[in-house]
Formats: sequence, structure tokens, C-alpha cells
Amino acid sequence: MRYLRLLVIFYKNSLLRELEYRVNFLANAFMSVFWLTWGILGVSVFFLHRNRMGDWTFPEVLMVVGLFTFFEGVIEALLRPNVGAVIEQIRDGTLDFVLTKPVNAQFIASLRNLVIWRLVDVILGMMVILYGLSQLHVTPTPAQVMFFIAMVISALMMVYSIWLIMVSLAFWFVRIDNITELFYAFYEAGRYPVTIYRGVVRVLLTFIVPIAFITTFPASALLGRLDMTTASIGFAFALGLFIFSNRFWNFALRYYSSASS
Amino acid sequence: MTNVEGRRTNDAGRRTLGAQVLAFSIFRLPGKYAALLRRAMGLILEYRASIVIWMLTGVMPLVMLAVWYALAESGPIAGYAQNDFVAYYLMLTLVRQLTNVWVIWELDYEIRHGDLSVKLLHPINPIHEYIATHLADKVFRLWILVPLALLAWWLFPDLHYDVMPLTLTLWLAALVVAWLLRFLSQYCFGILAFWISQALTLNEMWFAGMLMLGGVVAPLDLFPAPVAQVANYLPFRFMLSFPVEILLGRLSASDVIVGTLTMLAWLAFFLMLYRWLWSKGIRQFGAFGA
Repeated sequence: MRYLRLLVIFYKNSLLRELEYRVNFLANAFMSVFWLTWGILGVSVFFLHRNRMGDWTFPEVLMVVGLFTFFEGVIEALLRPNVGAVIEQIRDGTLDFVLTKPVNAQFIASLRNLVIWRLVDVILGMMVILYGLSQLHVTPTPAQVMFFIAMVISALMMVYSIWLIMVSLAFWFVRIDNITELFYAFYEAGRYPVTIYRGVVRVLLTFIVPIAFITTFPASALLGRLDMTTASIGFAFALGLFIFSNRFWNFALRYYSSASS
Repeated sequence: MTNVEGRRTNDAGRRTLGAQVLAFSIFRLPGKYAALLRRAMGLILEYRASIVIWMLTGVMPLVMLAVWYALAESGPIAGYAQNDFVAYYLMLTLVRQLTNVWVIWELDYEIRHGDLSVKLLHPINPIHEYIATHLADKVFRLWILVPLALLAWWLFPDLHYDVMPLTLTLWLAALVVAWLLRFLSQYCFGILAFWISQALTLNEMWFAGMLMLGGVVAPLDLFPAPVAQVANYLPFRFMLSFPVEILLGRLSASDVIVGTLTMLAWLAFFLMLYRWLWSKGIRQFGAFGA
């Protein structure tokens, strides 16, 4: 309860701060629409030449694009300004201020800030998913919707875990201030259903850097293409990664030595 | 400050276009450039781990390769078989790595924070300091890219490139101009920070244009004919895909000539645009007394 009240204060604070830069908000909202359009146009180029992408039709691929945008919004609204910012705090030594608060450090380090205009991406992503569904003329069954929600939650846990692990590495490698960009190097592949990739690349994107779980699996769940086993494995995998990343964070924290002095 | 810069611009105004192109050549100021390059190389080596990560973020062409490769399984697409896609995108990845530009983030920051005034006190136009760091970055990248290119050559022995003295020379020239176009156009967007706060946003749209119509999403031949026709004359093509097209040997002689002329026209355009914006911007900078 106390944590919930803190969150309300945090986000009111974030909102007030951002209302100061309204031109910025408009420009960024415009860019969200711009990049989404760009992504859809890009997919259209494939469909000029083929009518399937690894067994997925155009509206089905649109749902993957929607999920890509959705999670990009989540990452930019919550992960980059919090977990991502820890890297700079390690370098400057300002992580002291997080660690000395009488609240769980991971809670503050993960949820303190919210970049509200990035929620535009979250909303746009959901709209594209709904549009894709409407083009397919299918209504997901309650079971499929539940699978979908479970897969979205797994994906959220995975994205968060990956970021937490990357940032924890910064406790040792202070120099690599752009390590979170590594995520985007792989995330780019999540624009398309993972079934399009062949051999090693698909294995890499499923199990080593689990991008497939983030964009493809939730879409599969909604389309009724995901069986119970795969869904359970996905959920277990996400949970395992989540627990591991938390342990790793706490382990890494012990190596924090503040700055200067 | 304004006076000195003003005089410099007037001098430049009397120079011919050829001399202006020369002004960008590293041979014009060998002594100063050697010093700048040495300093830049030190800076780049300091950040070598970060640069390797930045290099990894430029892998979008490889994602596109994976997709097109799978789509071409059932037969060539618009004349591109699987092997052609590999040849195209590996070369595009190389060109993208070697023409990478980030100057706007420095320029935008330094203009808004007033740090640029320190650079203006140096006895050399700031653009040369930025060029030096970019050149040093390319030297560093070559150390990594050359072994990788050899590895790729060994992994895919049947890749076909049109390697002849003439195409190789043209490729190198197009590569240098591609870098110049990317650098100068981004520099021009950066100069806009003298007037507006959203210079980075405009640059982002320009970058998106390059990814779409510069041959990253698809080789330009794969777009609908009207789009491809227009894209052939837009600057984006000459910022990335033109050097690749030259080496793939798909262009006719007249295509190459028209392409080269268009490329040079865009280079002249951005050189003049830079000159003009810089002389305007520098006065604006003096006006708010940074």
C-alpha cells in the first residue's frame, strides 16, 4: 500500500515535469506515429512480392508489428528512464541516493520515473493489434485471450530481466555506458514473426536473446497458434529469467563502490 | 568572433566550388590534421568498447537479409536469388559501418550548452575537429571489419561481386561521397539547433528516410517502379546503396554515369547548404551572446 502511494506521487511528479515541455511532447507523439507508419510500410514491401512471411499473412504480421511498438513504448516509458539510468548513476556515484532511501532499492531503481509521452507507443501498438484482428475477422476465444495476457506478462518479465542483467553488468564495466543499446541491436529482429528466421538465427532469437517471446509468442497466442506446452515453457522461462536477474542485481550491487573518494 | 567568421565566409564566397571541395580534403591542412587525427584516435581508442556496441547496433541490414533470404527460398524475387541478397546485404552492412555518422548529437549538445564557443576559439573551423573524430572512428572500425569481411568471404565463397579496377575505384569514390553526404546532411540538421530545439527530431526523420529509400529495407529494385524511379534521384540512395549497386554489377554504363552525376550534384548542394547555414547560424550564435 505504501509502495502504491509512492508510485502515485512518482508519476504525478513525472507528469508535471513533462508538461513543461509541450512542444517536445507533440514532436515525440508525431515521431511515434511516424515510426509506426514506417514499420508498416516496411512490412508492405515484403508483401509486394510474397503473400506470406513464414506462414503469417499481412494482418497477422501487423499484430507482431503492434506488439513491437507496444513493448518499445513500455521500454522507453519505464525501462530506459529507470533501469537504464542506473548506468549513469553508477558512474556518477549518485546511486547512493537510491540506496540510502528507506525503500527497496530495486523498486525505486525500476519504477521511479515514467516518460509519459512514450505511452503513445503503447496505445498505438494496441490499436494496431486490434486492427490486425479486425482484418482477420476472428474473435479470440476467452482461452486465447488468457494465453495472450499470460504471454504479455511473460514478455514484460523477460524485457525487464534482460535490461536488469545488462545494467547489472555496468557495476563491473563502468565504461560501457551504451550497453542498453545492445538490446536494440537484437530487438530490431522482433519486428517480424520469428518463424521467418532460419536455423541458428531462430534458435538465437528464441533462447539466447529471447526476442521471439516478446513479439511473436503473444501474437501466436491471440491467433490460437500457441499450444499449452509452448505457453507453459515460455512462462516458466520468463519466471526463471526474472528470478535470476533479481539475484544477479543483488549480487552486482555488492560490487558498487560509489564514485570518487 | 563574428567578425573573424564573417571574413572567413567572405573568403570562401570567392572560392570556386572545386576549391570548396578541396577544403574538405584532408590534404589541405596536413600539419593541423595530423594533430587533430592523433588526438581523435586517442579519444576513439579510449571508447573502443562503446564503439563495438555501436557497431552492433548497425545490424539492421542483416535482419533484412535474414528476412529476404527466407522469402527468396521459393525462387528469386525481382531478379534477386538468395545469393544475391547475401552479396547485397553484406556489402550494404560494410558500407553502413564505414559511413556511420553521429555528429549531430555532439553539435546539437554543444550549440545548446554553449560549448561550441570554445571550439570557435580554435584556429580551425570546428567541422574539421568533427571530421577528425569520424575518420579516427573509421580507422578503428576497419580493424574489426577487415577480419570480418575476410571471414564472410571464406564462409560464402560463391558470392559474386563485379571486382575490376574501374568498379573498385568507382566504389571507393561512391563510398567516400556517401560518407560526405551523410556527414554534411546531418551537420546541416545540427546547425539548425542554432534556431530550433527539435533538430534531432528532423534528423531522425531523415535517417528513417535513408533506411527506407537508401536500400536498407529492400534493394531499390524491389520497390514499385514509380517509387524506385523517384528514389534513384533522391539523396538517400547515394548515402548507402549506390556503392553497393556499383559493386554488384547490376547497373548499366548509363545508369552508373547518371548516378555518379546525380551523386555529385547532391554533394555540391549539401556543401553549399552547409556553407550558407553555417554563416547564418554563427551570427545567430553571437547574437544570443554565448
